[in-house]
Amino acid sequence: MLYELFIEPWTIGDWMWRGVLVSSLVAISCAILGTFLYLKRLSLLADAMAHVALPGIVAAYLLTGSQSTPTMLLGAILAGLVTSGLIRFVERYGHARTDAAIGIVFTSLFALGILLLSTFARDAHLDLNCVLYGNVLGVADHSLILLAVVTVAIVALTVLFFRPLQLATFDPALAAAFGLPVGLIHAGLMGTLSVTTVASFEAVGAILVIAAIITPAATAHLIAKRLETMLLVAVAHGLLSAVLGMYLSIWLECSSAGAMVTTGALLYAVTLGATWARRRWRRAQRRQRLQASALPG
Amino acid sequence: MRAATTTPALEVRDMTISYDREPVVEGVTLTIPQGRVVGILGPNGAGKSTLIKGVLGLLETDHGEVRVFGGELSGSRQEVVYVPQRGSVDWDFPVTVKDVVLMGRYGRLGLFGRPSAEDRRIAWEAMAKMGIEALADRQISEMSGGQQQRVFLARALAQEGRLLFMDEPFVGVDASTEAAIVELLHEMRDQGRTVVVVNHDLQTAREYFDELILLNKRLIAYGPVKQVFTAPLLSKTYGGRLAVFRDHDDQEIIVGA
Amino acid sequence: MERNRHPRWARRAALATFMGITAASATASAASPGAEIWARTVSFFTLEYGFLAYTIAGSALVGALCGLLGVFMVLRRLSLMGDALGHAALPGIGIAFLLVQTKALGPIVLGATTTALLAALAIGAITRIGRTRPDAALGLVLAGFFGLGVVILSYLQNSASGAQSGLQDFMFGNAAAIQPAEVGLLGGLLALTVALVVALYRPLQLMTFDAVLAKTMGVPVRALHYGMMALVAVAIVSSMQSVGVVLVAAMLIIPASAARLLSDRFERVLLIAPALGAAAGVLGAWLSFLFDGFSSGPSMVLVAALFYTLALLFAPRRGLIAQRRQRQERLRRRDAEATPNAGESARRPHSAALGEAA
Repeated sequence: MLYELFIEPWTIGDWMWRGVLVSSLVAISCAILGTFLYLKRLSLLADAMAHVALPGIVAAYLLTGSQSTPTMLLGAILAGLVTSGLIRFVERYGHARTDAAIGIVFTSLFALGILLLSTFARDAHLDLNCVLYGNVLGVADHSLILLAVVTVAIVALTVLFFRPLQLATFDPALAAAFGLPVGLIHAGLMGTLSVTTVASFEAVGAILVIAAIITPAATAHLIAKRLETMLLVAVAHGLLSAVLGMYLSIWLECSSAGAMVTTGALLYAVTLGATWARRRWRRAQRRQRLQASALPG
Repeated sequence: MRAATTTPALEVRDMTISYDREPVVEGVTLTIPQGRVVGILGPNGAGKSTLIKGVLGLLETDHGEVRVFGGELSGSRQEVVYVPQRGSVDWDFPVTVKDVVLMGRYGRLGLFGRPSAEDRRIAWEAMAKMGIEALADRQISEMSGGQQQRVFLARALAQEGRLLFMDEPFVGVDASTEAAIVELLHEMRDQGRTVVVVNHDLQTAREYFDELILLNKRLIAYGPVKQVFTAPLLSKTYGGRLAVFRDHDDQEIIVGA
Repeated sequence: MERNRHPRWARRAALATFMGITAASATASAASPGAEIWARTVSFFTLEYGFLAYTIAGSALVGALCGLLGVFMVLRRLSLMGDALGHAALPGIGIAFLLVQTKALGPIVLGATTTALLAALAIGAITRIGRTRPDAALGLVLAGFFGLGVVILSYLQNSASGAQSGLQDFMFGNAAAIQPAEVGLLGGLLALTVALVVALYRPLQLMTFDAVLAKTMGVPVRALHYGMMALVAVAIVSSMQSVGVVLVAAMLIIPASAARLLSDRFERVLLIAPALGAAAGVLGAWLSFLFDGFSSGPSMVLVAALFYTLALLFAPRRGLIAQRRQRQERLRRRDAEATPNAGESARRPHSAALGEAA
């Protein structure tokens, strides 16, 4: 029974290995990137950026007729740039608050992407199902390589530039005063977001990638006291939801991306409940101690 | 005790800063010598914080020139220290007190550097000086307002700069922290350092600072407290929102702001 | 003087863009299938097919309802809450279908409303009991619920019961499939919303502008908030068939934001937003009827986005062009104060470009 549930999937062909590899790579890169975006309060901008990768990719395909990795990357990065420019424009000249500006811009562009995809770009091998559900097992070799490169690059950059990143995230003013290129770091973060979105696109789809970005960071933030710990916990959360999600998708015969996301959200809920209970318990203890010390006197 | 250097710590020439084309700071020119504790006073919206941020290059200025110890600001980044307003800090950030104080050393590390044993020792000394070693491993949200302010002062100390800017350091801190900050200010002055403090409390200005900058968009006055802290100049700074009384010793008391 | 050249250039660019858009759409429709498009347009608006009456009425009601509720969401900085609730409706659809195995409207509306409301409660609870940032809480709940929805829908797809084929429509909408019952539901909902807004106008207005003040004055802000979330959830669920869960937020945000540009007065905004929403709904349904592959949801959103762009450019006081003119006016006055002659000459190119009308 246990063998059938847990071990057997690994022995039939290499698809389980491949699926876990793909989802782990997505989990690691998104969790690290997500931690910085979360702390900079850019979760919703990340949501917008993940959505507009779709129109970017479709527009790039329509203009060049190519679906090669570099074209897709370029399309998504350009779409990201256009989006952040438009959001700032609407904020400033449309007198819209940031959240409204984000909502206006990304929903419009996403709608455009969906229409282009379902009319002019029908022969592209992207379909709506892929956009919505992703397909962990359907990731092509070149996409897997891109994903691996992106993950290694993100890990390496984070380790190498940990301190500048920490300072620029926590206190951009001091970082700027120290002469750190704060603007460049921000731009790099957004660029990496576009690239990661593209790399994760086939595996988890345009909408669910946002879960891989926000959920691990939010979970880690509940328990971590230091940035180093937060990054590690976020990666652990991502990996755990990737593996558990794969199992869940096998047992239920459902979308693996959806299963990963659901598992991740459950892990968050459990962590939230646990930290909340611990706080309540500690408070109750403190109150008891106070009462006990008050009694004899 | 004061360092007998003649190079001024800070020179600002004709600084103008605008938000949305509305000038917030207009045509400010100042020369602050070394070894002074200088308070910036002015009503809300007078551009006190903006002036500091402009001087530090944190905001884009329309116009103006800044020289620090006779040279470009970029040339003496190690010397210039900024203590932000407490409200502008992200207290939920996963970072411990020790980490924050150690950040004061990052300016000397460059992009790839790691803090040395010496850096860590300096950070510990700064924490000891502010009386927060016991809190070293706490996450920064788990502290009172006064303790939080001490963390940022310890970081400022660890930076070992000669020109410090503090934005409203006395807001929301307890009396003992306020006293510790004032003591620190005077100690720094005696070591020949220069501290510029944004403050909005008129009551304490006279005893805390050597010199005052009165600001309301434009520079109203700059000079030793005795010359500047006068009813005509203060009411010029604060407009009508200021009342001047005389107490039983015929001393001027100023209420308002 | 140098500065005076700028607005004329910008105004011309704006005009050129506008004319470009008009020309492009004109050529697009004048191209070879132009006649057919015209024929289909006529048949759309003359209700040639029986279902079109429901399509048009349903789309207009959806637009009006979302537009009206959207005003409160946008002004209360809850723009993206609608996005979260929309995505959170998906698992409810799936669960309802799992339980009753039909696409009956009742259970699906009930299920979707339940999960959307749960999402609203979850967002509130998360930000209250943990230290998760509010923006992340929103994204987290959105993605988590949507993930669960994807799990259930993909499970249904693989479990080969066949009847679930139409569930895809709920993602991006299919206005042509609007049923009479849904039109009734939407009509009732709009009537209820309008009645509530009229009855509770003062407290709602107060809460929208200053929730803290409203609380101190005894307005039950929390009850009103969750009441409104319930309305929004029901509205989103009723709009699923025509807009789809993924993009329904746009119909809440965009018409309301455009209306905000067009007027500074709360009650006018409350009238303009539903009007724009209804127009976007009908025109979107029309586009989707005209062109194969145009889902009705994205089409409506794009029409709304076009309205927003036009408002951004041409709004009487807050539009880009009006603002540029105002700034011009200010600068000219300032120049005139400094040197009387410069002000006189600066006036000429300005009035020559657009005249003093409007």
